[in-house]
Amino acid sequence: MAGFVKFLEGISEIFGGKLQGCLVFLLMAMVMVEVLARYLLQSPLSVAEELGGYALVSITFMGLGYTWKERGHVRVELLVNLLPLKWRARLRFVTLVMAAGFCVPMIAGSWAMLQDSLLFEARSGSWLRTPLVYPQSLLLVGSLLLLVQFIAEIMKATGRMDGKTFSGDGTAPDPDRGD
Amino acid sequence: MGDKMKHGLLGMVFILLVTFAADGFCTDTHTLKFAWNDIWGPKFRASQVYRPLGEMNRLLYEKSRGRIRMEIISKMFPSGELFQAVARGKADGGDVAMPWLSGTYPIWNWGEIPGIVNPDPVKGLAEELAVYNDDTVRKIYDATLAKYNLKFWFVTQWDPANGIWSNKEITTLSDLKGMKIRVGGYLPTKGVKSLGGSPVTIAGSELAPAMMAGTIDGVLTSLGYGYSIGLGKVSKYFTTTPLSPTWSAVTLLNKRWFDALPEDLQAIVMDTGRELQQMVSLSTTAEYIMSLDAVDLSGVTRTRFADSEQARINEAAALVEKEWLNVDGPWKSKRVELLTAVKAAVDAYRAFDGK
Repeated sequence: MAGFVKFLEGISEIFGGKLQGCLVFLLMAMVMVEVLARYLLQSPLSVAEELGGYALVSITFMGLGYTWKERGHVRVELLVNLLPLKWRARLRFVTLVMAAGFCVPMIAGSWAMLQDSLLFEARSGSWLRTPLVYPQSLLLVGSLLLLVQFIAEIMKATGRMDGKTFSGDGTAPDPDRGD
Repeated sequence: MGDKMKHGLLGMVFILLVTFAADGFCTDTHTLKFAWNDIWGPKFRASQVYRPLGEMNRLLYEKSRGRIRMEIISKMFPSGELFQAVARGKADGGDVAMPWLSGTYPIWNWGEIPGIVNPDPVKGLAEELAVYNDDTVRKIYDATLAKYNLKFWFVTQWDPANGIWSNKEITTLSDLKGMKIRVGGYLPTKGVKSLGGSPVTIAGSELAPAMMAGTIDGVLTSLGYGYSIGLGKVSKYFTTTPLSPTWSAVTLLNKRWFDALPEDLQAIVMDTGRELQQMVSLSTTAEYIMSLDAVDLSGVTRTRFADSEQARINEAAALVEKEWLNVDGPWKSKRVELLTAVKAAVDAYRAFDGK
């Protein structure tokens, strides 16, 4: 099971973490080139606003699962930290299952949006006329990546309730981290 | 309680039941669930017709003698989703800003072709309205919209986004060369390029600050809207161009809802649409003329290209027209037919001499 959890987290790491990290640099470079072209060449590329928007969507949605893995989402731990470890693990399992359940309407909503865009042949209104199905598919993939991360987290939480830990992968309960 | 009183009460209950039954079951009343977004408040000329108990509501009710009733819901869907909402039948009718969909459906944005109607909005609005009243044009709209289960109802015209707000006087195309002009939409971008400007895309909320900071040298938008967002305070000139001579929203109906109406009600709905589009057109024209005074008083000088530039402007316009005909998108093959019908309708309007 530890191998499988590692595999799932690897997916989050690559697609939600490293790839999106590269995108942040690409976004920065694109805005810089756009500004330079505007001021120095008097001939802007006129792509930064639109492509920058898509990049932000990608960084946000594709990074949802990775951010969860890295404990980057906002959490309120005031009461949870008062519980004994055993109860904390149980509560974590329940909340993880609920969070995974939340992914279902999110995936369904993203899928419905994609279906609409395909049916109505939607494109952006800019001069690029980007088929919207491409940037919108980031929402679907991002939601799926989040679900993948939740599956990994649920497996880890199950192990913790059984008293198991995944040594070396940082999943042992740690009160200081709010586990 | 006496028998007479009991019979009296029973009688009253019976009359009430019969009245409700007649109202609910025996008459063929139809409800038009209408979606629009009241984002501009009362200054949005179409809000006067769209608002609950407004002209659209009233005219449909009166003309159909109460057989068509309306449920008007503002902000039922985001503006960008109204087209799909009406097509899917989530609403029976809706106000769709076609220029926002120009990237997806170039065919219904023929109004962005430079010179398609007179660049002077007072004349251009009337010519555009003549196009939307033309039977051939309406048939092409219906034939193309039917693919998405939609039916053309009427148009709500805005003043066109056809002027450049700038601090530099523009009278020749050489003046425009290299100027960074903020522009929105596919065809207007091509238009600015073909006239020699450098199109820039920045968020609509940043126009006046971007002008002040020198990020851009000009903004292509309408006189009224530009003034309302403060461009009059950061610009010295407003130059009327042949670009984007129209900016209109189209009010669409769900085709299945419309087809389910009896023929007499269908005729009433369409007649009402023609009446409403006439109202909005005149309101927009009057508002545009009043905006001229406001802009003049604010100290902005209104200019236009010199007549000597006309030949080069026509060349640029022809390039954009060619682009519109050839750009990928639904109904590419129908565009020639529509363009011919539009030009014929404009010519017919111009040919009127009252004799």
